[in-house]
Amino acid sequence: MKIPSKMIRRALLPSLALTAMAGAVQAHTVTYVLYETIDVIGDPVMNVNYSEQMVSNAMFEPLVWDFDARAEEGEKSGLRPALATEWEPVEGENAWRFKLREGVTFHNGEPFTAEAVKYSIERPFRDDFPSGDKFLDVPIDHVEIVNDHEVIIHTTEPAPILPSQLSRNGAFIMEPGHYQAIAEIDDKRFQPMGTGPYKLNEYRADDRVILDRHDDYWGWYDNSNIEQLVFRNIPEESTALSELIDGNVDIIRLRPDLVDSAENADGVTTVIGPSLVRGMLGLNMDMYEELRDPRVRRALNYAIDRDEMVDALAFGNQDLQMVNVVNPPNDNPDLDPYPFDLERAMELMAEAGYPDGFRIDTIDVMTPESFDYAEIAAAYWGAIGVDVGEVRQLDWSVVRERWAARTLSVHAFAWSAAENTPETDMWAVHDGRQTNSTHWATYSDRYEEWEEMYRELASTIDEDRRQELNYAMQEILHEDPPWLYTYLMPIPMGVNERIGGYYPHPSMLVEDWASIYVKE
Amino acid sequence: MFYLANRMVQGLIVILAALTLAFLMMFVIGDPAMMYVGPDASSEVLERYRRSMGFDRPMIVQYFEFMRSAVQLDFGVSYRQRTDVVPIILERLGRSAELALPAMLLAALVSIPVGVISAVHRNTMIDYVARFVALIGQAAPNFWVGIMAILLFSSALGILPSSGRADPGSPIWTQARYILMPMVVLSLMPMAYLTRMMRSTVLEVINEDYVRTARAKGLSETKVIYVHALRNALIPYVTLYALQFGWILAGSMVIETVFAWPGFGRLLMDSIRMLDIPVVAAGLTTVAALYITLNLLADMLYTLLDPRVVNR
Repeated sequence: MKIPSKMIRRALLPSLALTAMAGAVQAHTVTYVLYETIDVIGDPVMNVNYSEQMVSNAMFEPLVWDFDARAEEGEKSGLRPALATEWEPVEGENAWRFKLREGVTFHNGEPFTAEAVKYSIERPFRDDFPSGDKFLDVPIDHVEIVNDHEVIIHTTEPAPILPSQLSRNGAFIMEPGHYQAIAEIDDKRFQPMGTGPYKLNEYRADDRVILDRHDDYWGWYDNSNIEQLVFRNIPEESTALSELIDGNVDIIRLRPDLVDSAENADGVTTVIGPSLVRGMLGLNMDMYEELRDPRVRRALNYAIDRDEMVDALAFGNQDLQMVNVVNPPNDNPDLDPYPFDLERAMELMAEAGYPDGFRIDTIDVMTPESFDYAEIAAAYWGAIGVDVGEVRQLDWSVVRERWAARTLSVHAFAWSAAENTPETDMWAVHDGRQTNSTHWATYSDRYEEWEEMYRELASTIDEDRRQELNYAMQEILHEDPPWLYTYLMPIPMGVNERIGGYYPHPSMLVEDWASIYVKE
Repeated sequence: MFYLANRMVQGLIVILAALTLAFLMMFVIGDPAMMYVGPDASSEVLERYRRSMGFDRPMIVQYFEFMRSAVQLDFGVSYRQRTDVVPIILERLGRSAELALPAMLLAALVSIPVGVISAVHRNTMIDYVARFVALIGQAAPNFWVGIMAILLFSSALGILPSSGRADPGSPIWTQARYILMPMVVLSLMPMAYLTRMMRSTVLEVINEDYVRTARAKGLSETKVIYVHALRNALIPYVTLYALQFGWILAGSMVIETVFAWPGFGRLLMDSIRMLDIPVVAAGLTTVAALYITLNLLADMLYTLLDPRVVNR
């Protein structure tokens, strides 16, 4: 006998009423789900995962920001003022001049001035600073205070993309008086003190971070009505979806296989934003002799049906196919993604001397979202005789160890360079990047030529020359590919229908918090 | 007395072994300095950080330093949270206990009567049903049961919150509602094991001479079972109960993950992933100490249940 759910609900009415009281979302509170643990919230430079970066991004701001959720589609990304209102390179010097926003206050009421910029930007470069992960590829020399609202940032070499680099967590501006009062540089007593739209109310480890509205924030939009922003740490995606459907949380990132469930749920909308996150397979030439031949690496790229892959894994948006490691809008328009051409792939394998293929023992999957495309790639490679023994997900602690030692096998890696500049995108293949497990520099005849152009690009301010170099470098990466390029991974988000103004940031590391509001 | 002292010495040896194992494991797993400075750091930064953490010293020196601090319950500062380890462990253990204590109480309240009834009514419908349910309880993976419970009680019926822990200042009833679902799911596995154990041990003792004697004395069946048989049947049950208690308190990371409960299991799992050595070392020591303490308590209970244990 089928018991109508209405009857059950009626029987349980008193309990339901209590549930509603306890679980109902506060009218002007937005709850955002984060999957990774949140340990460090006092010091944005020390953040190591996306959850921590998200939280920092709601409390701190950089000089330059790279996103506006309110802008028209296609115009949301791109540099725009944050704590700096204007910036320009200083003629004849390795330096940039920044004019600072006036009338900005930190959460403790202290005014934002040039002193805070000097403290925050120079701090990660102090000898006793304990982290090397953030910001070290930015050639900061020192910060010169011109006056309270103007600084010149001097670099040790030309730094054409400095404004973009300053949009990262490592360059978030912190209140100097608050942090200097604590003796040790990585002291546990750090409390977050920034100028961002939200300030810390309460932190509960592995549970939630509760932030209150910073009323004096300079950048509130007219319809901003959020009083409290809560980050809930829910490690299991299906639990998070259940909470979203129940109306207990407002914004979650959806695992692709949960998108349909979210779309079919009442009161939930899905937003699939464009992404800077690239799904790639690094081809370790040191470990597999066969991969040293560029024809083999091209063959591996030809052997993949990206149309099918994108249909299966990226909601059919074929615009997301990757040409190489450089993301739009900096990608070379004359290049197309490798077409699916098994015949050409077989020819190249035969030319390289491997008509019967070869064996790749393992594909090491570094990030969970890379597992599916790694498996699909392995299956396609089988058609040209490349036999993959195992596709295996590695734990992050193992990944980091092997990554640093450059001993990952063929490795699947979803990676985003948040700055969205050609040189930061191409840093993925640069040999200076210690974590580069492809060993392309050692085995490619074209690396030297490419690297020379990279050096020039990294020190060239002139936009035309930069574009010329960028496009030429991409041609090399296309002809002599160190990676298998797949697709830019879309970001499916589940959003409670009561939320307005939400659009995901393409890096998946931050959001435009000031744009979000509750529909009245 | 000698018996208990002997068990305590054994416990100390186990804890020292656990500490040694924790220390060695950390060297096998990877370089914690790398974890904190990041793989893109230059070798100078890495060396500097390694020095500041004391990892540049000979391994044996580090080992004795580690053991010396550990026996004083000084596990240092968490590399990730940058705060003293012991308060972190105690706080999280308390959160896990919020689930584990009622879960084990529930397991006992269900398993003892159901096990006894199942044994007394052996090979009847009651027995078959009880055994079947216990088997399901043992066989069903608890993450699956957890997700099904969320779908049923939160999404479909809407009578319980899906996940998380209630605000600390909220009314006790609200807190209880957040605890209820993960607690019940957590209790299912030990409940199933304990029910089967209770049934089999009662079956063993109800044919013993002293039970027959009790019956011959004309005692009621209830008295025979619950006073004479049960007391002896409880000895192996108590052993299993202590082990299950330890497991449920320290090893419930799956349930804590599914229900987003900020407990000890999740702390330990995250700390292992992040090579947070002080937390892992303190956590493993805590697990060892928990098991030893619970076993010791079980041993003490034996002496109450069966005074002959003291004389052996």
